[in-house]
Amino acid sequence: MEIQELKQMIKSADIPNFLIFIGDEWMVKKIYIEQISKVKKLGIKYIDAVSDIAGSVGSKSLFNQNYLYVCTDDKEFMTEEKLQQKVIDNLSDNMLILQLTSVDKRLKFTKTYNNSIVEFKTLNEAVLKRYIQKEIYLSDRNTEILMEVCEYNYGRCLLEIDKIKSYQSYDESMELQADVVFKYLLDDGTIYTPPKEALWDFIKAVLQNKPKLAFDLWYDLKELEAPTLSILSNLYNNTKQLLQVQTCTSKDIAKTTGLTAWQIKNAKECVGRWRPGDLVYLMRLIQQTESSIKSGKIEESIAVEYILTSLW
Amino acid sequence: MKIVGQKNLTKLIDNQIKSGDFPRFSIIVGDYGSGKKTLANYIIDKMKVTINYNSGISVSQIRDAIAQMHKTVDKSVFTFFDADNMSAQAENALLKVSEETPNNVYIIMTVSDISSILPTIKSRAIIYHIPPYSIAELLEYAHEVIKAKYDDDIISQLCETPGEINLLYERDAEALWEYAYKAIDNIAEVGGANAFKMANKIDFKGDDVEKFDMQLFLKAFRQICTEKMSDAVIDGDKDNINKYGAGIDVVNHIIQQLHITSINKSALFDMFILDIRKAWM
Repeated sequence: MEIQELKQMIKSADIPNFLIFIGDEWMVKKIYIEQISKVKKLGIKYIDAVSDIAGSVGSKSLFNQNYLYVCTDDKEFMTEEKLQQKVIDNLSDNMLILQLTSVDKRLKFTKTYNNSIVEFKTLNEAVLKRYIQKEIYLSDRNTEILMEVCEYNYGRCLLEIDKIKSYQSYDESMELQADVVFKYLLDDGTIYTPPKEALWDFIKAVLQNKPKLAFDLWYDLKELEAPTLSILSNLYNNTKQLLQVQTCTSKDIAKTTGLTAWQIKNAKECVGRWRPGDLVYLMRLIQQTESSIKSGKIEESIAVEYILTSLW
Repeated sequence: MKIVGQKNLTKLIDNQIKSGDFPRFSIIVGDYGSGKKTLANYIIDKMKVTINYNSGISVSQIRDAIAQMHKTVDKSVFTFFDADNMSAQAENALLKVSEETPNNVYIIMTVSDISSILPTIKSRAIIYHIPPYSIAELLEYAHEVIKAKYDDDIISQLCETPGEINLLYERDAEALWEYAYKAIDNIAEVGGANAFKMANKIDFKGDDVEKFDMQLFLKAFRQICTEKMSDAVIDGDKDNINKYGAGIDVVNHIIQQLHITSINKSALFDMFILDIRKAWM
């Protein structure tokens, strides 16, 4: 079911007593769990396994209290049909929310309870921006930087906002503006910038045909211990996107290639420095290197240098 | 439990179980979808065990399983499915218990590629290889087990294992065939920017029933190239003989790489597109 549908159910207090939450937005899931517990007037209990409550749900007792039980990735529950029936059929005034970090749509469990699944997708940029600016007064530009640094994850944004607020409240007499604090904490490294930015600079240097800069940035990435396969995967994807944009003859690049505006913008910064044939060569080189790492023919630690020296 | 084919293997296993000689540690080896899990469950069924413990393959999950093994007093089977991706650390955690299996405990592991398992682990196990299926066995599976109503030709041309038959019918076999035909007609005709969009209908993660399985798509592509090449031979059309012959070579090379553990299938499919376009333009 869509989140909108769940929202309506919460508003009308007509919520099914078994739900499955999936998706990356852990903070949004948490907010919904808290909302549901308020509306249904149930205390929240986090459990390790659904079998822990199999005995208590459905049993009659003077002292039984009803709860909203939250369990994460219980494989046993997902495979044991008898346990599923025992618990779900006997929840009565209790509720069970099963959180899954990944979902296999082929499983019988997923097919049976498909209608109970609520997916919490990454919030879109506009919505995320609004939520952030509700929490803290940051300029539009700084909000965008915060979103990028937190990889558009609402939960991470809230954690970083917490740092800003803590710093501001340290000495209230100074009345530090959030934008000033944000800039300071970002430069200082207190607001963590994932290697992606350094990674993007490296990728840009390769795709703009700047060997010296590429090698320098590669050594920086090495110090940051950025994982090799992640570097190769990102370099591959960006090379492919550049090839698609560079060879696209249509005016509507997004429609022809299926790329997002952000991907097209990044690719356009690198257009024209390599011939299409060179980009194809680079794609093949990366794919073969990745395949060789996985089949044990080449050491992961030398893979990036191997690609750069083969390229130039 | 119905097992299609594998008559000699199941006979051997039945005899071993009957005489009490079934090995305490065994590894079942077979291609994706060949029935490794089905065979493991067949064994568990035949052995009439009290405890059937299916463990994950991470180090912590293996350690939990080993702890359970030492606690159990009843006849138990511990299974580790798809152990190809087991880390060396996880395999090492299994070493001692694979050599000195606790009483009443049987361990069954399944893998697609036996070379992905440490030699020290391999040497402690009895290995059962699932042999290839005959076409009659595959058709028997399609008609009697999953009650498929599609063309037998499609099954015999594309599928080598029951798992592939499942994939084919989960996702519309005829649509797959049509898509492969469309790909052959258009792959070298469209612009470069557009060509990669062919991948949009291919399932790389194995969890989207709206898309086509990559290996099955490639096999369909190859089969159509084979048919077109045969027609070209009859017509004496040398250009098309070379064209479709090159197409078959590209597909074979790509399919070979699909068996590398954790291979990036999306990038591999891009290579397929690039190689076909290179060969056909």
